[in-house]
Amino acid sequence: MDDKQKLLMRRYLLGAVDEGEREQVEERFFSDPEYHAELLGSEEDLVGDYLENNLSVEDRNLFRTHYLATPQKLQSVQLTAALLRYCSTAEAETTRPEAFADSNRQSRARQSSVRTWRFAYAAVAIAALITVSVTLTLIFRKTRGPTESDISRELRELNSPHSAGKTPGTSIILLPVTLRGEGESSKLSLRPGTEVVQLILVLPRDDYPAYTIIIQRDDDAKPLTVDDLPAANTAAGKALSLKLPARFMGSQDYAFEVKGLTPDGTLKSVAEYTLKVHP
Amino acid sequence: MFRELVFNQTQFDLMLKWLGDDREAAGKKYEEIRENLIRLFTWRGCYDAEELSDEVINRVTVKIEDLLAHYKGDPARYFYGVAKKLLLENQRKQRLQTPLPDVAAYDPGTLEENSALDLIYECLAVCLKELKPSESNLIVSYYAGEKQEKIRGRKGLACQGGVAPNTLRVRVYRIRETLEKCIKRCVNQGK
Repeated sequence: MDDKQKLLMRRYLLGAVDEGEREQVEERFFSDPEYHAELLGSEEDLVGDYLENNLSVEDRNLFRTHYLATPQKLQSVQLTAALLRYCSTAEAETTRPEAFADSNRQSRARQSSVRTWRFAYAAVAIAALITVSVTLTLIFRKTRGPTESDISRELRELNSPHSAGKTPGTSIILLPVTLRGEGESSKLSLRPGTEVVQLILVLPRDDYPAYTIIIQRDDDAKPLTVDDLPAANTAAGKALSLKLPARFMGSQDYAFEVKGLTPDGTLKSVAEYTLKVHP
Repeated sequence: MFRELVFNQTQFDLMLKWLGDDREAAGKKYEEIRENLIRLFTWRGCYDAEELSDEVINRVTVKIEDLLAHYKGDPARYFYGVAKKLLLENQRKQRLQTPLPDVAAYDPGTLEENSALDLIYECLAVCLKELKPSESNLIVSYYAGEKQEKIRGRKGLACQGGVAPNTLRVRVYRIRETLEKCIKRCVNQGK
């Protein structure tokens, strides 16, 4: 299968084909077993690329608006995400026997017995190193508090489209300053035990495939940036969901500037929001 | 809503015969066509993909005597032709009825997606234990690894099992179906 055909398959799955191309793909899907297998493989790759954040902004947007347009597909992608997460855990590593174990167990056992001791030494050494460095890092962090890069990293992880994430303990809807008037900042009081706060920033219009949010705090700290957020439909209209770690949110004023990503890669200001966090 | 099954047993038997002389192979072909129809309708963004697929099968089966007498060619292509016609009817109907309440209520970019994933993940761990060990091993191995490693892993799995990559994918698809049903039950209990 040549690259042109593979690209056509991907565009078909993303809904970016014309009527003729759509029929061409579907006709072959029903009549050509090799093509059928390729298209299913292409679908798996597309879902994998979405979950591993390997799609362009445009394709990710198409994926969300076209491919994920039915509850069945959403459930299916969520199952794949859960399977990938399961497989990446240490639990899966330790409990995962080979799929066709019966026919191969004996030969693998011979190979593994040769390697076992070598790996055991290496594993003990690595585990010791990790333990020491984790302990030192924890002690260091406890004494100096989270750094900007800690916060940035956690923000990125929380807001990544393929992140399983934590369930927000509190959500608040913010309207743009231009819509609600400059005088009335939204107020938020954090309940004890809240780990994640979700801000739903209602957009005045949705003209861009992705958005960047610049977070400014009134304590003169360096602004924080969260990139590549897609707009989503909510009861309040098109909005961006921004998750923030509650422990980094002190009692102070916050300003959020939303910028849209243009096709030439520049950012255009879209709206501003403010929030006052109470103790 | 479409009509209930309208063909009789004789017509269904004839339809299977049309798909192949060997009844077992014909049954597999029937399942394959139905799955492909469901995929097609889902790719086209239809919420009721299973219902639409069954309607295609109904329409083909009630005409089976005519088809056996006059149609020359691959049955799968005929099913696809009927599916295309049904898609057009469906699009017209949706235009007349818009906005459909259930379509309007569903939001693909739902902001609750991540919390739903947490629950699915918990249920996955439970449901994997309900599978046969060979099935849970296969599906976990299938999804293990990063991109390139995963591709190599899947080739290796197919090779170890002595099956073609597509056969492996079909096996995994069947296991996923079982998992999805179990997870749906589990998620509903956990809500």
